Amino acid sequence: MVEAHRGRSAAYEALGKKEQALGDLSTLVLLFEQEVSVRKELKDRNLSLSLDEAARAHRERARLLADLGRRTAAQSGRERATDLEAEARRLAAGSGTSGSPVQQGTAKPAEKMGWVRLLNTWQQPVTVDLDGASYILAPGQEKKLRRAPGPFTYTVRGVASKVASTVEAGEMVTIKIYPPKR
Amino acid sequence: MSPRPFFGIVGLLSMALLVSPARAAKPVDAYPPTVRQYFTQAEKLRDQERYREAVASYNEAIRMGMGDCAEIYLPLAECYRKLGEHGQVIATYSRLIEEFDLTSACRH
Repeated sequence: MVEAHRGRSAAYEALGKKEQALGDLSTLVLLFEQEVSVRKELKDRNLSLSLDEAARAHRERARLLADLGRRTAAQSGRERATDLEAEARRLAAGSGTSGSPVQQGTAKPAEKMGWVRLLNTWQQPVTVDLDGASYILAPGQEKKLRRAPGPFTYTVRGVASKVASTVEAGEMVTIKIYPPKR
Repeated sequence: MSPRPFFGIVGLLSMALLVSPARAAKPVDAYPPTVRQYFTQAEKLRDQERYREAVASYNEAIRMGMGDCAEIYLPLAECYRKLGEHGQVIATYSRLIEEFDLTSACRH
């Protein structure tokens, strides 16, 4: 859904239909703000992921608003993005596991996050459940997921039982999905 | 328990309902091999950056009955994007957004 809205927005913009493009980006902002709200209430440890996504959506929308001459709204969006990014940094600093001291307010959020790369090497589509979220991968497809550093669990449906792993800040953990052994 | 998470989830579900008629997507392996072969062929062609031919194969898969497979629309839209056919990109993403429920399309 996120990719669809983002992709459609880019296509609208390529055709000069900026109002329609703005509509899709506004939907993304709403979705991620909702996600942030729910994860805060649930004290979900992946909150920083949603904060970063929401910030990105606000910045994309703000850029388009500025293009459309709506400077006040654009500025408001940028400020909201800055707040979300600062919150993500604070969270990452509080849960850092790399052992290196975190210089709050000086590093970019991307430097505090880790990555989990899902790679389906099988000739069948697979579904991976990773910390409560499900990801469908077509044969040969890969997905890179930004994650806050720390432990996580994943299950490849119908292939393997739950596996625990850990991602460190700045690190990419690759999960290759192979056919089940018969 | 605070009601806010509940309302947040209800909000998301309400948004899904607003773009109804949403339907559940079928996984690729739920289709017979005779139909699935077009999808598999399209994926190979896309990997080989033969986007025009890939589009034809994806559309053939849809014509043969895979129209209710959400997984087909993202790579199809990507092929159209590579071909610079932005109108088709919009139409393809719109179909995904409007016809499928959030659980089949979330989150990427």
